[in-house]
Amino acid sequence: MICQENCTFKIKELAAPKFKQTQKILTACEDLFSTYYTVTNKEACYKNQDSLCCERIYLTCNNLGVPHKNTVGIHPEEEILICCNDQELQIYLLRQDFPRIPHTTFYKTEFPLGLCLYDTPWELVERDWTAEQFLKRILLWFKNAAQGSLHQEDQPLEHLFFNSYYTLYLPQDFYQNLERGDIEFFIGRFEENKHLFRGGFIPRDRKFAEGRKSPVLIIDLPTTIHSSTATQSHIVSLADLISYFDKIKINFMSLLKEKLISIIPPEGVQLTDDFTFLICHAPMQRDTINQNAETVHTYAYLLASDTTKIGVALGLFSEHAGKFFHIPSIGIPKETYSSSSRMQDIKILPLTTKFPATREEARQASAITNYKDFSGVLAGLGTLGSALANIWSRQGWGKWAYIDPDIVEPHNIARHIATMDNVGESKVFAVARHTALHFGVYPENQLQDNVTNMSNDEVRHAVTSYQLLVDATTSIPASRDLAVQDNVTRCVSVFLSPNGYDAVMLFEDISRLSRLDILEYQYYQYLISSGLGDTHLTNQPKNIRYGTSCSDTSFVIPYDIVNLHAGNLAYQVRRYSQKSDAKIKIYQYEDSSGAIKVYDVAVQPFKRTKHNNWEIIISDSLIAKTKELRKNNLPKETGGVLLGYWDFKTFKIYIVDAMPQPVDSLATPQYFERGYQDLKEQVQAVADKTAGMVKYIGEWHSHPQGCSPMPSNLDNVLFSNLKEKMEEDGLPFVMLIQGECDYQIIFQKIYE
Amino acid sequence: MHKVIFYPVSNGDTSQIIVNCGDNEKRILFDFHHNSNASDQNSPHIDLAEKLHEELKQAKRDYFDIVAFTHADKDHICDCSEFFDLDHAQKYQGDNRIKIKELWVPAALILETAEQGEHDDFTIIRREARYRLKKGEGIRVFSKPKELSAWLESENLTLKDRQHLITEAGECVSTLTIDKDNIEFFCHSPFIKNKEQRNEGALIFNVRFKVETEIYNYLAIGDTTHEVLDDIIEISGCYGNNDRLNWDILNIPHHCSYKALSDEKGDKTNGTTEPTDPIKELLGKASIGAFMISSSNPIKNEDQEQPPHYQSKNAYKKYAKHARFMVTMEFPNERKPKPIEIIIRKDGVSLSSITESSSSTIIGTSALRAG
Repeated sequence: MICQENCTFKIKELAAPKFKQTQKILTACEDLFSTYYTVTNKEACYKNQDSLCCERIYLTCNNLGVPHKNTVGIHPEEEILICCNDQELQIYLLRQDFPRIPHTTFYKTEFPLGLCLYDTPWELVERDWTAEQFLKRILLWFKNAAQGSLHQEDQPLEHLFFNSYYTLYLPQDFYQNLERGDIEFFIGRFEENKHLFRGGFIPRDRKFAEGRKSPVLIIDLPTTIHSSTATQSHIVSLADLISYFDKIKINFMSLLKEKLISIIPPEGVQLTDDFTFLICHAPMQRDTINQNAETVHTYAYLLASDTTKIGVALGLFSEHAGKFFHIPSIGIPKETYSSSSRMQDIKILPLTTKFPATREEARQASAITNYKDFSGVLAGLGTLGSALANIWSRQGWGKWAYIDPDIVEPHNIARHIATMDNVGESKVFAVARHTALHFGVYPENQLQDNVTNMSNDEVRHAVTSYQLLVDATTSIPASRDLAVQDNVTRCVSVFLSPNGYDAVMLFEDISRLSRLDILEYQYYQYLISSGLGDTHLTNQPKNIRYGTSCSDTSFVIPYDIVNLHAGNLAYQVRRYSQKSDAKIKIYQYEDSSGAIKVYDVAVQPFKRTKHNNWEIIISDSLIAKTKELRKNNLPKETGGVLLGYWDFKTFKIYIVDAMPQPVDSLATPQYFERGYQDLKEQVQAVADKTAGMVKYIGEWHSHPQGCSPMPSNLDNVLFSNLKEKMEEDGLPFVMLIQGECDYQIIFQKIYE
Repeated sequence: MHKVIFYPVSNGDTSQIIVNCGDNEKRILFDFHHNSNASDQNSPHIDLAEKLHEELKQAKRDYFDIVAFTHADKDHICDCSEFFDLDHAQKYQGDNRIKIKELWVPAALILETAEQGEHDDFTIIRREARYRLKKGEGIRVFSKPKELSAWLESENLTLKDRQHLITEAGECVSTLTIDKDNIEFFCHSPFIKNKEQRNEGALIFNVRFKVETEIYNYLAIGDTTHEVLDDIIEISGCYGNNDRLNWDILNIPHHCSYKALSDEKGDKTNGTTEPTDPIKELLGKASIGAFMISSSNPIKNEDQEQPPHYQSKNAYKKYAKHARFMVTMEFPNERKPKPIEIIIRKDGVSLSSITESSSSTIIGTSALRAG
């Protein structure tokens, strides 16, 4: 009861209600609800002379909706008490023998039972509370209770016991650790919250600083049927517990005896001042129709007595020379008054036990149902990678190998899940330690290395055998190196733009036809051709795309924005890992509105041409573009510069764009001379859009009507001339000729 | 599941039994009292005709299986000639009228002669009853006074010809059986002795419902007097029919008039009518949580000449103290009463739909016109 503990000071007749709920209930009972309710008494309860605790309305509830011969035992008329103050509202059932049914509750005492009316807290309920709806709801409660329909079919089964005010938090691997001989269970109490206990394991030989050693007795109860049980409260002694189980036809005494006998060694034990921790596993089935146990509840009790004393109380053990032994009884043991009174003396504290959350529960909480067996490599545990690791770990998604060569530096802390404690540790270990705290599960592998180091067997094994490699290294070399490895698993690359406002996801298709390098290439093509390129990479140090690792403090990326993108990317990666096609997605955060705009870039077909060890990549759309430019300029030839980039490590040239002819070009049906007006600026603009990645790599021109793309003499001269110029910088030169039906790429290697 | 619905028709009677709801159901209407001002939104009276039309439309039917007129007082038959489709004359047919498969009347209703000033509904319904009885179908007559055989003879018929359409006090209606239909009508009244006065000759039934293995009793008493009830109780005892006096639902007789309990009303202030001993016994036969329904105006704590009498209400609550007392014109409030719908399930009798939200009510009906 609201005021049960604090105010027995004074109860007066209630003349004028102070609390608005009281007033409204009284008005409704006397007016619209007079058919259903009769006010029998009104009281005001004071904490002290001046301080009002609560107001009480005693009502006779005329349960017109209750079937008069209901088997649940709800009466057509029930006496109830409504207790109000400005902070809560409680309803009590004033009949001593009111049936203990689901959705009754008790407030610290067994009588009167409370009526459980709302499944949301009062703070929320009061927002749209009206007395009329409240009174209707009580009527509905009685009606549903009488018809046995209070408990919805999809609702979990109620417990045999009410939740205790006292809670015990159990450690990870509780049951497995109980089996171990080298450690033992102990229970400590929180200093600041005395109703909370925490269990743990420590080596057997260690002295206790705080807490109490607590041998654990685990008892498996037979299955009970939900509808035939009633939730019980008020267990204060072992005798109460045994008596309750008797009522629901469980011979708990015999189960307990069996357990005690099984643990006492033949050489006897000495009396200790330990507590005993009793755990009961109670399987429950919903009804008699479905014979399978739907759930197993766990109930726990702390007995202020060691197991020996309990054995003595049950008449099982007796003392000899300071030690206690099990004395087998002859015939049927007789319940004696003294054993019953000794069981009364064994005080029990019921505990609500809370086991650590499991990854399975985490998956349920995140609606991850289909791919719990997923395995992935997370390469790069910097700002973005550690945020992704954190999210996926909390969701219980996937078995992971973490790979990163770096250690945690002090400056990382501003944008990383690591803490100052982790400084100097490898990032993989720091993140693994952090994520293991969620559910006690470490990633399968923590490899402090580069993801591309195939000479490391563990790295090689991980990147070739897991289902997905998430590349959060924000490293161009890494993604390109992974792209050339045929035996590497499917990859997805995720990174943020230098200012942090955009995020990019490059997802390979399941057959790896479009690998990371191709997706990167098409990403540049998109940046050049769309307005997005004007802002996307503009905050970028020159000559590096999105550059060095995000942990480089020269970048300014707010951590809130990092997490915003991490949350989105975590979900997108999870989502697209279930699909098979390749994806290029750019997510742009709009600072003014807070919206995220999505650019879904279509993955284009492309062609590779081999030139000795080199491979030249060109997309079909680019070939179409040169064809179109040629056609538009017929009968004259046309041409312009080729833009793209090289990778000297992987021997690849990516032709990103072919620019139209500068306005000062000289074009005739026989030849073409490229001009240069505004060309520098145009090329620089492309370089800017791609953080300097895409630059001049060669030339292209068209051949007139009816001509093949075979180079003419003039072409050969031009090629040699430009090639030599490029060679001055040690760079290769590419020429593309677009003929009537076909195109040709002429390439001079200078570096292999 | 079965239902008994009591409609708020002020000091009058209209109730409906729906047996086997939804599944091969049968609908039996007891009396019809439509208030002429019922369509006025400010009137507390229900627009009975509209309500019944609506219910039947929902049930996809245009008829009642049985319509019983317990007697011919205006407050039990008012406006019935406008509502029902009557076989005896074309002018009472069509026009969205509701058909009656079988009409139940006390013999007195056929035999009574209309007095001057008697309302049209009485003569029309008497004509209909006579027409059906002559035709030999669609009717059941309760009690068999000798005047009935005289009347039949005057129509060139014999009692024997129409015996199968007649049920006497102490008998069950043979066409409905508890095992087959889950309902049974045991006729308490009228009996020969009380054909003289209209109220004394009214229909009184023990209606027995079966739900799976359980049996529940509804004592359907129209307008009557304590003398008739005293006789019924005595006769039931004599014939070993005491169990026909048990009740889980009681239609309180004569709009909670003291005359159905005793000759004396009781004190004018804070009084309680003292029922006759047999009636005390009858009230004591209520099951715990039974319903007793006063089909009447709201009952104020003030003495008045016409029923309902608060002194009687006090008597019902005193002598059937474990039963639940309800007044049709008070439920759920006096401003706009709604039908009291009692449902009968295996686990007993209860009031249905106690908790529909206002908004769900509003969106479940059309709104008034906005100006």
